[in-house]
Amino acid sequence: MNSISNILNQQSILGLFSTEDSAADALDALSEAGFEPKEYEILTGTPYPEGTFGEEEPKHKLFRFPLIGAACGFIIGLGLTTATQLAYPVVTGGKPILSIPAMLIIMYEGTMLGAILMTVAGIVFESRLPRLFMGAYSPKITEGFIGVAVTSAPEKIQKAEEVLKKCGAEEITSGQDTTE
Amino acid sequence: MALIPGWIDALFPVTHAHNSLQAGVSIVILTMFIMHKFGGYKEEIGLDQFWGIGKLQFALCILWFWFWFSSFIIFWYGAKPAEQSVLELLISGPYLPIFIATFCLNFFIPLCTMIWNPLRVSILGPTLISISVLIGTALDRIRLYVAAYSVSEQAPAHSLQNIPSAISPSTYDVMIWVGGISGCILVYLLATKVFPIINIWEQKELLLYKYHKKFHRTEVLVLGKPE
Amino acid sequence: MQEHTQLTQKQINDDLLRSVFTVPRWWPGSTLILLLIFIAGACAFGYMINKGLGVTGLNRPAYWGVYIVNFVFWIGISHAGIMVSAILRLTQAEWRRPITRAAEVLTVFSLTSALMAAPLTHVGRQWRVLYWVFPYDFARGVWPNVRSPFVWDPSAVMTYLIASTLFVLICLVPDLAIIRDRSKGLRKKIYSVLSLGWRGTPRQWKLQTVAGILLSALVLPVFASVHSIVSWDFAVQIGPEAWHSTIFAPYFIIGAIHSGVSAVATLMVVMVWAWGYKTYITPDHLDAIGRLLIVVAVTWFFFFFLEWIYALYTLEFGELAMRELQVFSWPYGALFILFLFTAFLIPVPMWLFRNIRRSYLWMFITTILVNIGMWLERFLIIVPGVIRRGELMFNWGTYHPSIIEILMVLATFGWMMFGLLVFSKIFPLVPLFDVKEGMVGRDEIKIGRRTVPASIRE
Repeated sequence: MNSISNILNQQSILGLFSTEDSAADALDALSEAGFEPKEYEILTGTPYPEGTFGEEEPKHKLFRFPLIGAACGFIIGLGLTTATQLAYPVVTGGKPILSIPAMLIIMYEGTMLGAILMTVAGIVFESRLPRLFMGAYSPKITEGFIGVAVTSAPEKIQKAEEVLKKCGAEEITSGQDTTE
Repeated sequence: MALIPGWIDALFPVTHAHNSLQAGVSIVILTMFIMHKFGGYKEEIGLDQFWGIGKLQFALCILWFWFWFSSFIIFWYGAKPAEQSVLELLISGPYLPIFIATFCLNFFIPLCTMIWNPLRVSILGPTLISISVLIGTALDRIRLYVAAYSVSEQAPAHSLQNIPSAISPSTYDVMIWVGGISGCILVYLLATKVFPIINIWEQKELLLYKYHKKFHRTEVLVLGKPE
Repeated sequence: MQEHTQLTQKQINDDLLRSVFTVPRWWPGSTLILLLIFIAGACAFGYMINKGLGVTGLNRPAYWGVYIVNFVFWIGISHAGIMVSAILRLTQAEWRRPITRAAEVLTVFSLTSALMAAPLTHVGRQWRVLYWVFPYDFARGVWPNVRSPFVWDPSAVMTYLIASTLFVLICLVPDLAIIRDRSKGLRKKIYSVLSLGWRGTPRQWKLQTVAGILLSALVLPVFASVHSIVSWDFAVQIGPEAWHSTIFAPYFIIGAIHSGVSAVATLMVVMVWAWGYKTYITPDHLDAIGRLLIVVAVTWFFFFFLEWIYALYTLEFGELAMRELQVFSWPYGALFILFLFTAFLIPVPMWLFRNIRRSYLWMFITTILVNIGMWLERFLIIVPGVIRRGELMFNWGTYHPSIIEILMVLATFGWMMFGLLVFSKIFPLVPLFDVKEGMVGRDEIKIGRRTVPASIRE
C-alpha cells in the first residue's frame, strides 16, 4: 500500500539536451546527487549503442516467449492433425490414417506461428507497452534532442531540476506539461 | 541415379553438394579448434570466429533437413512402386539404423543444441557439433553409395524387386578408411610446415580496418568497409 | 557504401515523412487508376461468380490456368521482403536500411494478391473454401484433409502473412511515434494509439533490435517452407510428367527470390523517381542489390538446368514429349524463348557491368524484364503440363485465357500497387529509425591519404 501511494505521489521532469555527452554528464550528475538508476532514464529518437550514456544494460527475458509459443504451437498442431484424422478416418491416396510426413508440415507451421505470435507479444510486453500515460516526454526527442527523464518523490524533483540545469539542459518540462 | 531403378532425384546434386559443404564447414571448425587449443593461435582464432562459423553451421544443419525432406516427400507422396522400393532400400529397410543415426547426427542433435545461445556462442559447442556432423556425413555416404552399388545387377528393371541386405564393412574397408583419413591429416600437417596456416597479409590488412574506440560512455568496434 | 550524406534527425524526419503529411501531385491520379483496375477485376470476378467458371478459359484438360500461375507468381514476389529484410539484417549489411520496410510491405500485399489469385478466384465455388481449409467440423464430421498439399498451402501462406504483417507492424512503432509527435488533433490521437505510447527508452530500443533479429530468424524458416509447400502442389502429383521432380522445392524458392529481389529493385527505383529518395537510395544501393541479383540469377539458372538435365537424361517418353511441347510447339515455344531471354539472358549479362547496376533506368528495365520472364516460367510449367496429350487421356484441348482471367490478373497487380500507395500515405515507406541508426553508427577510418567508410558495431 505504501509503495502504491509512493508511486502515485511521484512527479517527473524532463531535461532536453542537444549532445550525447551533455546527456551522459547529466546521468552521472544525477547518480552523484543520490538518485537511483531506476529514478532516471534516457529518451532518444534513434537507437544508440548500449551503454552510450553510461546507462545500465536493460535485462529482458524475451527469449522465453518464442520457446513457449513454439511448444504451444507444436502441441496444437499435433493435436489438430491427429484428432482431425482420427475423427473421420478416410484413407486418401493410399496414405495411412496418421500420415506423419503430412502431419509434420502442419505441425511445423503451427510451431512457427506460435513462436512468432508469442515473440511479438513478448516484444510488446518487455518494452512495457502499451503505455497509457506518456509522463515526462517531449516531441523534440524525435527531432534529435536527447531527453533525461527523472521520476521521483516531489521533494527530490527540485534537486533533479537543478542538476539538469547545471549540466546544460536546454529545456526542462514537467510530466504534466507534455501530455496533450 | 542410374544404379537404383526408380531413383530419379533431380535434387541429389544439390543435396550432395550441400552435405559436402556442411561437412567441409565442420572440418574447418575442427581444424580451427585444434589451431586454437594446440596450435598457439588463441589470439587470431577466438570466440568471434567460432561464433560466426557456428551460425553458418547451424543454418546448414537446418538446410540438411529441408533438402532431405524435399526429396522424401515427393517419393513418399507419389507412392509409385519404384519410388517406394527406393525409400525402403535407402531409409526404412536394411539401412534404417544408419539413416536414424545420420538424421540425429546431421540435424536433430545440432538443432536441439545449437539453438541455445550459450552453446552456439562458444568454442566447444560448434566443435562438438562438427564431430557429430562429420560422423553423420560419413554414415550418410555409406548409406547412399554402398546401397546404390549393391543393386547394380538389377539396374535394367523398372523397380527394385529384391531389396538387398545391408553390407557391413570388412576389416580391410575399415583399415582403408582409417588410413585414408590419417593420410589426409598427415598431408595437411606437412603442408602447415611448409606454408603459414594463417593468411598473414589478410591479418595485417584487418589491423588497418578494425579498431576499438571510445563512443561517449562506452567502447565500440569500428569496422572499415573498403570497396 | 561510398556515397553518403550525413543528415540530422530533423532533416531525415522532414524528407521521409513528406509522403505522409503532404500529397504528391501524382498520387491521387495513380491511386485512382490502380483502384479502377482493381474494380474492373472485381466486376469480372462478380461476373464469374454469377455465370460460373465456364466464362474463363479453364476446361478439360486445362484445369489449372493463369489463376494458378498468378498465385505462384505472387507467392514468389512475396519472398522479396524476407530475403532483403531478414537475411540482410542477420548478416548486418548496412545497405539494407532504406529498403527493408518497402520490401516487407511488398511481401504483405503480394501475399494478399496471391490469396486473391487462388482461393478467391481459381476454386470456382469460393464460398466453400472455408469448409475445406478451416480446421473445424462444419458438417458430417468432415475435417480438412491434412494429407493434402492444398491444406498445407493455406497453413503456410497464412502463417507467412501473419508473420510478415506483424514484422511490419512491430518495426513501425518507433516511426509512428515520430508521426505522433509531429501531428495535431485527430491524427495525433490516432497515431498515439498506434504508437502504443513509445518513448524511446534504452529498453525499448534494445528490444526493437532484438525483435528485428529474432523475428528475422523465425520468419526465414517460414519463408523457406511457404514456397516449398506451394511447389509440392505440383511436385507430389504423378500425373503431369514434368512435375514429379524432387527439385521443385528449391527451384521454386530460388525462382521466388529471383523475382522477389528484382521486384524490390524495381520498387527502389520507383521510390527514387516517385518520392525523391535519391539521398537515401543511392546508386551504391542499386549496385549492391544488382550484385545480389547476379548470384541469385545464376543459382536459379543452375536449378533450371538441373531440372531439365534430369528430365532429358532419363529419355523417358513422357518427359521428352512434355519438353518438346514446352520448347517446340506454338505458342509455348515462343514464350519459352521469351522467358529465357527476359529472365536470364538479357538481364544477367547486363548486370555484370557496373554502370548498368548503378543506373536507375537500366535497373528498372532489367528487373521488370525478369518479372515478365518469371511469370512466363510459371505459365510454361503449369499450362503445358496440364494440356499435354498423355496416355489414356480422353480429353484433348488447348488453353486460352479469357478476358475475365486477364482482368483478374491485372486486378492483382492493381491491388498490390494500390496497397503500396495507400500504405505510403499512412506510414513512411523508408524506416526512419533504421536510417538514423545507420547515421549514428557511421564512421570513417583514415589510412594515409585515403578515407575508408566504416560502421560501428557493439
